[in-house]
Amino acid sequence: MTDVTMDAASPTIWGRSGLLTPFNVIAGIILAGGAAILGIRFTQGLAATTNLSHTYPWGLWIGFDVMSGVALAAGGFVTSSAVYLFGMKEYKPIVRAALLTGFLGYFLVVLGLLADLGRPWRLPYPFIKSAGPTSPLFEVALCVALYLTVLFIESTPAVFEWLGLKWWRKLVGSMTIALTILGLILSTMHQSTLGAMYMVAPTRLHPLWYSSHIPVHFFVSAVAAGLAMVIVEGMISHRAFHHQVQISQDRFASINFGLAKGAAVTLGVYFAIKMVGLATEDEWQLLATGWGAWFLVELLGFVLLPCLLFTVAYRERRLTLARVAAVITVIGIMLNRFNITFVAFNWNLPAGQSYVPSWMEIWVTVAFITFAVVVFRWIANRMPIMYEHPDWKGVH
Amino acid sequence: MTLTRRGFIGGALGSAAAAATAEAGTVRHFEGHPGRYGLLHDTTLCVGCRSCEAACKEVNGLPPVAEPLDDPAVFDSVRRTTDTSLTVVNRYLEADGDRAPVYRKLQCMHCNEPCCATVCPCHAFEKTPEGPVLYHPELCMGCRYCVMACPYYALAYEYEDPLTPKVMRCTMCYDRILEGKQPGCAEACPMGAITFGRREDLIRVARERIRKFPDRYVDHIFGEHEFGGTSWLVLSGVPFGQLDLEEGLTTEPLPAIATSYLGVVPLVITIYPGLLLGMYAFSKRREAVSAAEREESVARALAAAEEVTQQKLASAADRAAKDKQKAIDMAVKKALAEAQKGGE
Amino acid sequence: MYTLFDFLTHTKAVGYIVAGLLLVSYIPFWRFLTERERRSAFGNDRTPQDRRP
Repeated sequence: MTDVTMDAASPTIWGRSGLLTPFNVIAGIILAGGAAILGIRFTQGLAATTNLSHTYPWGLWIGFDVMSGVALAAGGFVTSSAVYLFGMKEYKPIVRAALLTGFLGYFLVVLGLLADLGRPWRLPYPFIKSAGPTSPLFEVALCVALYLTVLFIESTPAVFEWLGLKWWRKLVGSMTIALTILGLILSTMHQSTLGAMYMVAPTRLHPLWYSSHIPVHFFVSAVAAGLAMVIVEGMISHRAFHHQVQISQDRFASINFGLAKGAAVTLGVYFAIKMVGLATEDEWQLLATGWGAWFLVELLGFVLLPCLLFTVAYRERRLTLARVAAVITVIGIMLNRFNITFVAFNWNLPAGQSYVPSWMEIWVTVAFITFAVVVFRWIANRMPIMYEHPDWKGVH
Repeated sequence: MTLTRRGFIGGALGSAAAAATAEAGTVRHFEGHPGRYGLLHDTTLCVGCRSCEAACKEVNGLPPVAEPLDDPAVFDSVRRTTDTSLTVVNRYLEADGDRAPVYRKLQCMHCNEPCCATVCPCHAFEKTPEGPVLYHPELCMGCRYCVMACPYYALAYEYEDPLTPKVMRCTMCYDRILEGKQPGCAEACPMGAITFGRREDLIRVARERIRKFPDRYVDHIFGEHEFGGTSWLVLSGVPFGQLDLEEGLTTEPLPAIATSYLGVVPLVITIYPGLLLGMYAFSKRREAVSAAEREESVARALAAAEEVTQQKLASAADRAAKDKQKAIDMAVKKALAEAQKGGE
Repeated sequence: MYTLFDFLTHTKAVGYIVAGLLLVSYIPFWRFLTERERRSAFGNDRTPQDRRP
């Protein structure tokens, strides 16, 4: 991270210390390895690179890149709605970074899909060739395609300010409210429908995770994940780009406490609706089983615990505690999506058939994240992301 | 019945005419295509010879069965269908006293309401009027949601193929049915454990067998109603749970459960703009009100300050006037006193 | 129409089209609704900035 700071201080193309900084070398190795593995995937097939099977058609690339990626990118729509629709102007300094993180998160989703799909070049088929409107995945694909476009447009003001294109900057500024509303519509739709995708599997997904309320579970947990991710992203980027940050430490901390308050309430709601789910489908007795213990680890350790930590952090103004809670929340959302995608999935099949991701699947996933970090750094080093452009202060 | 392949593109438009004549769909029960075909697997007749497996491979042009047909070791583990074995026979119970071992054949069940077709974002599946569920690889993008969704674990994917992988599953030998032949497995079965025919007839046959031999069968036809029913029907002499077929499943079609949430989506699209503009207006109004209040309080403070200043000015002027008066009085007094002194 | 699957395919497709069209038509509706208040608020001095819904 120290190296990133140096780069931020001198935003030339390769940073102060030239091309061979430790960050660049490590990132380069990860990306090159990922490219090589993708080469194997497209010459020898998914069987050569993944541990997917006929029983587990979805693995890490869906469970992390798509299911977790979309949830963790929810910070974009949460913060932009708060600022532009609900008038919470105090969060404006973090909107751009949240939207950029959101855009890169969804970009990562598409990259993950391109690696995972059997015939990725047919990705537009549902829209141009043969639509399957009965599929929850059709809805998700439609929303992700549109929302990626919305996030792209919402991220362009920084580019136009950087390039000095005033007319274009004014044009996108005039669309702010419409885009924010569209983003909130699309996010509500696909965040929840990602959960609805599992409603087709009442026998294959363990009843503790399966619920007729699963779309609501996904949406609410995505809001919590988005808020937590904004805190985590702020924790890293404010250290890495501290030369660019204009707001005071106090103001930044108070923004984080506001986010912590929101996350505490959202996690509280999430915990409550999970309990309501248990009551609705009368699954209390399942809590006493092995699966129940694992379910309680997720629910108590990664939902209720961060909820309480956020509460204490907000009451006592403890920034570090809020950050710890945010990291636990992010891990908890990933754990939930992994549980649903492949851990508690096929729960009633004999042991020994379960899915464990291959090292190549993990490497490719890490490479995609690295790619997103590199792009974020490249953009934030050049464009007004962490600060307001002097010509456009206080403008939408 | 005419055996023509139904077009699969433009289903929405093509079915519009039919929808116009039908009543509203919410409470409607769909019976499925009349006279469609199905198969009945009587597990009490199955001896595990795996002739069906071999025949399936042959008619579908797949590599022949790897394990020799007479090798009993193959039954030591429970197998599932794969991209090269579209049907497999498993032994679920070993011989026990009088009872022979119990085998069951696995393959696509050809659901009345297929959830593979429902979850496909590319509409690459169709439920043909003849009964088979068909897959069209030329439309498939390879998301494998169908493989994930199937409650019978019947679909497989060609993971080995890097560029043109397909979903692989039993087709109920659709082409052979069109030619008036039986599916390969039914024709090959030496025990008569697999019966091909119209589904409604097969249900009658199965009921008749249960009625005639109540000791031989569990009084249930698996696939008659489970998740809306299947084209493949199974009869058993032991509880179905022992054959890895879930007991007590709902009769509601799985696609109805899978798509129940999608009804909310158009509501979100149409309600949110109004709702959110309302909230936006609310926050704008709150901002305007607080700005007005701020202005008003500033004005009030200014007015109050003005008043204080005026008072201060007035009192200062008053004091100045008094001081002046005092000075005049003093001067007058002094002058009078001096005059008096001079006069004395 | 014999199967629920065909019924769902038909109704969901129409649902998407109807909802999408209504969403798009919301923009002209809103602009028509607020036209006079915007004119009085901003007078002739209208920049793209003011043309938000």
